[in-house]
Amino acid sequence: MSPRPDPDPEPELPVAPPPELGARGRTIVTVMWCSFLAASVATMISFALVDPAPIAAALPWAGPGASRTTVYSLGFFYFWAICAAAGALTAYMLATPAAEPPSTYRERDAAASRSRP
Amino acid sequence: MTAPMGVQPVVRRSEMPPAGSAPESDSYYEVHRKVYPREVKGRFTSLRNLASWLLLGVFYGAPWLQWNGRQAILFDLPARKFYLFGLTLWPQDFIFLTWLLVIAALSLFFFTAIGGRLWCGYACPQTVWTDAFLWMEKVTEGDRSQRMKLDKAPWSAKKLGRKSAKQLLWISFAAWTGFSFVGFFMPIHALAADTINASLGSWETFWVLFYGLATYGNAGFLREQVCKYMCPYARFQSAMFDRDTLVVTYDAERGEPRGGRKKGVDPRAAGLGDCTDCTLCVQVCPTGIDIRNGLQYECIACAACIDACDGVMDRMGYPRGLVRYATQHQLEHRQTKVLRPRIIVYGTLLALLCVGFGVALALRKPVALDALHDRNTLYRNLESGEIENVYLLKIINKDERPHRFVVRVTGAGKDDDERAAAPSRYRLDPVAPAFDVPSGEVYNAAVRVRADAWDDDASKAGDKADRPDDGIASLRFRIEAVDDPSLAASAVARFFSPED
Repeated sequence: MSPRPDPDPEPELPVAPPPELGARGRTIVTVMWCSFLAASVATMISFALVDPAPIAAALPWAGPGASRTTVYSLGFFYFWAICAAAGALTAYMLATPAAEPPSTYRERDAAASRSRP
Repeated sequence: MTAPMGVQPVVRRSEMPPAGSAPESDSYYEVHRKVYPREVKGRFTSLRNLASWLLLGVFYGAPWLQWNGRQAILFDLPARKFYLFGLTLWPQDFIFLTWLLVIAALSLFFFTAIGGRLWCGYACPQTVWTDAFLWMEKVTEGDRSQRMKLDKAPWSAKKLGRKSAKQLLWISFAAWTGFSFVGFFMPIHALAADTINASLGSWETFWVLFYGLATYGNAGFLREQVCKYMCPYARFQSAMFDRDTLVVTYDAERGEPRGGRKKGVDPRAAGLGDCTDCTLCVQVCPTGIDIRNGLQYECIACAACIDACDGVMDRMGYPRGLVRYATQHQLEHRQTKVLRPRIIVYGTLLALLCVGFGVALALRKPVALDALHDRNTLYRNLESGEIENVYLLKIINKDERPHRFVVRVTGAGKDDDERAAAPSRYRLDPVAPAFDVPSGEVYNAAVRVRADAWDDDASKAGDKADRPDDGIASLRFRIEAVDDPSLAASAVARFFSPED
């Protein structure tokens, strides 16, 4: 038995790594994915409680083509858009620090009190 | 990669570059390398394959099952009815679905606390479909080293042929997956006919392609990245873990120091542990980690490394189990405690919910009644001096069989049950109308109710509760199946008469 029972030894790093998502790309993908999950739940609960048939009938282009399936589908994308907006705003707020950290205020106040006669 | 589970690398805000000046290379993220899992044979792989076949069989086969002349499992969204074999669930029964989801979540907690990530390793769709796509990749592109060489090689007719064959298999399988998925929500026979005739509706087409594309992307390309970056369960599953949870472990005490050796050499004499450092456990790992670094959050507990290591141990003549399912306490030579507070709490809650679900389902009334007063006319004065109100009754038959329901009406007061049997002030016209309602249908029945104008002197004492208030009184409709009196329901409505 050879020291390595592996019949085909590990080749070098096989290929150039695929193009990477940047930080912004990851943020977008994360927001879209989490809002997708939330929108799925929202769609399920909402349409369990509300029958979309009257909504389908009230659609501006309501015709024989507008069915419950249309409202389910549009409803899902509606929820997805709203959830994604909330997620994007959250990501933006977290990534954008407040203009001045509190310590700056303390330093300024300390300087002001020192210069006071 | 090697951070112990639950420990995140800490980056202080002060160490982060200010916003807007981030360097071009986003160095906070590791470079993703394609993982080429090596095929492995063994006990747990067989078990996982069995689970995969079973689950894929259920997924692709279940929509085609028939039950009493209709699709056995159909979450009929266009018609807002869920069929589960003999059971028909309506939007009013949404609580059952919620209940079922709570049971599913709690089961996940319970089994995670006992057996670790059993779900991830054996049952998660991500694992199952990734295995299926890997199999197709193996069929078309060859085994691990062949695949690596192929990816490295320049484009040639052979590479193009193999890659095209793989894509063809993947895309067909993904499309079939999307079609089967939609077949759970719309009658699949009609869906199949529409597909063949190229007359599939636009939304149906969209959802087939959407789910197909999701399968193709998740199982073909993203694979372990779904578990590492996208799965919420992978992030919080460690909260259910303790030192008595069964996890895939490397017995470092026995294995180290690792190193190559000739067969037949006594490892102890050579100053070595049992690990031959063959790296097979790393090569077979679908998430590309080294289990010898300890428990890691990337580990989906598929046990491929256990099978790989057991094979090596067999060949070396060492006992199996250098990599094995064990608890942290076992590795520390301490007793594993199965019955611990966490398990008892999860288990008790789960048992209660399951029993409650069964009881609620058994007691669920397969008949429902809605009574709507006619919207246009409150009441009519008949020539006979009687007052007539018209109602629309919605009789919902959730039972598997058709039934004939007879309708009765009484006053609706506090002592309802007592009065149900007593003669009533209200009369139906015709006297006891009956309606045939097919299984799983809502039957709309218009009924007329008549009553004499209220006369305080003429009414009996027992009827006092029927006295109209500003011309409004309450009455109760009851329906009862002719062939089965236990199938009954009632609904309250208002009876209008002229104000005094």
